[in-house]
Amino acid sequence: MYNPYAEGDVIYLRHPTSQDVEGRWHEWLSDEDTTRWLSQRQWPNSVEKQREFYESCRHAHDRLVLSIVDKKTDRHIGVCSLSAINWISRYGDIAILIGEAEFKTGPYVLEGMSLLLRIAFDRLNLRIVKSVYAASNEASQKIHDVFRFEEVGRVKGLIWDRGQYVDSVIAMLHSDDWRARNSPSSKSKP
Amino acid sequence: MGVAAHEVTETSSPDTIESWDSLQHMKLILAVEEAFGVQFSDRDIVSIKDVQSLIALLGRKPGT
Repeated sequence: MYNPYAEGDVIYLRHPTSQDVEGRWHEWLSDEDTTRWLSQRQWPNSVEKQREFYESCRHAHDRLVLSIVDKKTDRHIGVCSLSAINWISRYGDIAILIGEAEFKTGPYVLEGMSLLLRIAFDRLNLRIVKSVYAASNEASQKIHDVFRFEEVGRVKGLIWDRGQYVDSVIAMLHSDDWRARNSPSSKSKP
Repeated sequence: MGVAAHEVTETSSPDTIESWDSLQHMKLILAVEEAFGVQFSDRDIVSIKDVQSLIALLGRKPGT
């Protein structure tokens, strides 16, 4: 492992490197299927744009971007972030993307989400983590359900998704709820 | 997952059931929580790799 920031069973998270930029990161963000659910990635990406993004991350204090790395192969397989962090009100937006196709199944995304939530609440002391996703994105809906995000809003027909307008779902997870579910005494539903 | 109940064994896993992808995995976690009245922690969720680990996890939950 190189410079691990958070370690799980099968992946670890670390600061992105210039090698990540020169690798396949930029290609993930051009891929039609991978970018289907990303609101800001409708244009083709390039290594130059990825380099600009990487440079902007190095100096950003309202955004934590981490590379997801497979422990077994030390391969950069995805990226996750806490962005638009408001340090006064202590909230931020969470996002995770597995770019390498062979890692899209298996435990990688769940472990990545778990590690990132722990970083958000335990290390950064955020109070609320927010997320916005398209209602037609079933996988996104399920991962938010699994980690007990609560749907707090819905904008009807906001997002254009392959021939139809679908709702934009706003979900959030409060640190109190996360701690209650992850405390040693929390074993079952009341 | 489109698999008959009698075909699922303790050794069933994403390696043995082709339709067991990430989406089905999350649906399974949610269905088991609902059926057994339990709530998994993040650590629990990450530990679920196959039927065997799921059974072991449920065995550690009180009231199941």
